Amino acid sequence: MPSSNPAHPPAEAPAPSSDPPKLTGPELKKAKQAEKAARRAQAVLEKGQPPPAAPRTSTAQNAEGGKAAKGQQQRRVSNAAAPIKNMPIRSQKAQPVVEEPAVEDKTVEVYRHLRKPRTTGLAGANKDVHSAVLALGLQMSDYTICGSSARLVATLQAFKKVIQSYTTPPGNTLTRHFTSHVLSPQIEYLSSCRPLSISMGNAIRWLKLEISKVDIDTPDHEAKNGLCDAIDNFIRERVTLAGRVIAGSAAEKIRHGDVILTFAKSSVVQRALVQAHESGKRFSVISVDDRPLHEGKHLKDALINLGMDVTYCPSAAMSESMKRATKVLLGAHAMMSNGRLYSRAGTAKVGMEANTANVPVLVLCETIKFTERAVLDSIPHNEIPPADELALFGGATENWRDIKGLQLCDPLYDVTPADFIQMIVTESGRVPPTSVPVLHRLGNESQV
Amino acid sequence: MPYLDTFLKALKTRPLEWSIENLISGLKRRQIRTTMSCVIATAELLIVVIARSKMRSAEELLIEIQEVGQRLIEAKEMVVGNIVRRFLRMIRDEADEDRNDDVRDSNFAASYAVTKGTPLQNSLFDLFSASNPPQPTDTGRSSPQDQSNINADAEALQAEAVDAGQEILDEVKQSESNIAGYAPEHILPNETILTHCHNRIVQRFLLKAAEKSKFSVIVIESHPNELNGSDDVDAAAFLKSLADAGLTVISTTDGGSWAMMPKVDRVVLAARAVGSNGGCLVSVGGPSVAGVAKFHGKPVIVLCGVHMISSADQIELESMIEHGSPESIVGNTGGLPPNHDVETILQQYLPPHRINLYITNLGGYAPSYLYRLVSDQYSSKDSNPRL
Repeated sequence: MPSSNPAHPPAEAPAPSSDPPKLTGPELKKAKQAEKAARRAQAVLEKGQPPPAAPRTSTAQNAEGGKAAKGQQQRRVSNAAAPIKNMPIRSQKAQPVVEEPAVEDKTVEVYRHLRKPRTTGLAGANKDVHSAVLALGLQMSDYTICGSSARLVATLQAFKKVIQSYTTPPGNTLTRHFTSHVLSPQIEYLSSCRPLSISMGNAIRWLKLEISKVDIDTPDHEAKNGLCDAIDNFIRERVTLAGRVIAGSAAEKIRHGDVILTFAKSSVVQRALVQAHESGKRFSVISVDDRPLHEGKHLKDALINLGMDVTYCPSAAMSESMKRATKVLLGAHAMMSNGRLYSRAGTAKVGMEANTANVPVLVLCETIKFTERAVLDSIPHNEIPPADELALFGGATENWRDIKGLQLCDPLYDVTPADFIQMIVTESGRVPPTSVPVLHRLGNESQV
Repeated sequence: MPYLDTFLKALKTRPLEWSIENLISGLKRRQIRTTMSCVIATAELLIVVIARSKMRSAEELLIEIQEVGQRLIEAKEMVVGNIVRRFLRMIRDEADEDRNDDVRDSNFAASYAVTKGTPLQNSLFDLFSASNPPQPTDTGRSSPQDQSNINADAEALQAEAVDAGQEILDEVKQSESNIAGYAPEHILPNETILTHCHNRIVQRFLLKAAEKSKFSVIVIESHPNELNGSDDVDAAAFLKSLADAGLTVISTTDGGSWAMMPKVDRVVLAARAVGSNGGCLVSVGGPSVAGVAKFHGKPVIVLCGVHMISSADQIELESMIEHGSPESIVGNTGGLPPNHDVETILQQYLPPHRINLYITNLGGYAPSYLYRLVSDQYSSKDSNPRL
């Protein structure tokens, strides 16, 4: 990768001066790809997560023709080598690709407006997409990087690399050229891998504004360093420090003997629990989650390793566990301006049962996740992952595609009514749901 | 139901005591699992108990049934107790009928009228008369003629009781198709029906409705599948049968129920056991789904045979709840650390305020009416948890 070393090579060969031989365009591309593939493989090994998915929807892949098919084969080979439990089914899915006549619409009518083919490979990616972004896109599409905050940070880090490897072409300025010609394809690619999170949307809006503020007379390297510093600051302030403040604030609310119920896995909730535990409070945790992501299992394992008392509870039995819970801590994907919580599907039901059982619900949410959007239910705005993911995780519906009239649908998010939420813990304080639009204006729009 | 088949075959040939022990162990080990097969096995066994009884009076027969019933009930299967109580009530009725016939024969009091479903005993007098059945006014009962009369009466009662027992059995066997028969009344074309798990009665109910109209079914697939109720059919078979009937079937997760509920018209669940307060036991997750439906103002229908309705209250129902194995939830549990617990409950109590309608084989009833069905079915003399 080109370093941040301010080099001024001609635009045709943007190789950094530190590289000894000058490479031609195609060679450079090849080298980049090889490097990226290696990095990906390493990331996969480190994480122990499923590697970039084999094709899930055949219809989406058909359109991309021979090139896509080749990509699939390559990936399948690499998958076979990796000892991943979920892979066999996925690769089986890939086989009927060719002969499928694609007559029956398998998408659920209610969510048909959200249908969007998902990019699960490198094939068809815009050539301007930076390798770091390509890798990130794949990690997002297979949920290796899954949470809203994690995706936000990873995206900004990748954009930093994009900025660092950028050189303004002659006759242009960074301010005018970068956003439209370089940043846009990156964003487009990321959103084709998985719809952007609300926090990513907020951050991208902020970044574009920062870029537009750069004086056109600033030398390239200075502008780039300035932007990178700004990104670092942004991450530190809006995510790292915010998370720390929220965790501390929520940990204060945890008392001796509490039974904390939490749904799925939120990094801030986890930090709050750990912090309360480390401050010597004795309490137990009920970790609830649901198919297909089973995020609660990761949380449960992490907390058990710290010696905390944890009960793992599948989503169906949640109302049973609620009977002995004393507080509910929830993470958020986003807070809507009408005070509703937009979070992992199943959260609303937790809120409802908590409300029925008179257990207070605390939402832990950084203000970067606040949005001006207002929603009433989970249908107009949601994310529908490819249906095969639902069949994949041990369902009885492995060959569901063969059954006419059968559809699988697994909305990723749902909307919890504000009535179920007693308190939102943010870095700007503990507020009721009605204060969301105010904090959004103070926190997000004042910067913009 | 292979266990049921072998049990029924052995019932005809083996000694009675062997069959009783066999059924008890089958119930305890959950080898005989579905409500329907529990009911059939119990009813068949009780019919054999009556048929082979050497009793001389209705009272003796009642005691015999009570003894067998008590042993079966200890195997913790709610519906078994219901059937035993149905039989007890039936024998009481038959005995009363005989006695009333006698009374009528003697003093021509033709006021007795039994109609199905109306409780027989209405006065304090009955409480006493039932406990000492044959002609309490008789003083000289040692004459051989009386003796043969009693024997003849007993035989007649025995035959009537076997017939009536067979009727109960037939009613139970037909209950599923009777319940399904109400489906077209409740499901209209182009509606969206949501159900939880893959219950057999729900399957029959929806398939019956599918003969009349086409609609969509959203099936909440509870995780993990092994946790589903014992009355469930295989998930894939359930989905396929509905799809093959021309319905649009959408399978989703527990988490999806909230997101989908605004588009749902009705929720259909199936009960495992029903209490007289209108609450019931359903597969784990069912109460939450019903709660979501209630929040969205969607009606919740619970299907159950009347043989599942008992005089139990919430506490008795909750004592029947089973727990499964944590292995199906967290995988291999060989090395679970001591600070790690897993919630493995299999059924949950669904309170009556989350239910709008029960559909039984006798028709649709509001939860608040179920106590009447209980008093119709069982005698108040048998209402103790222990017989």
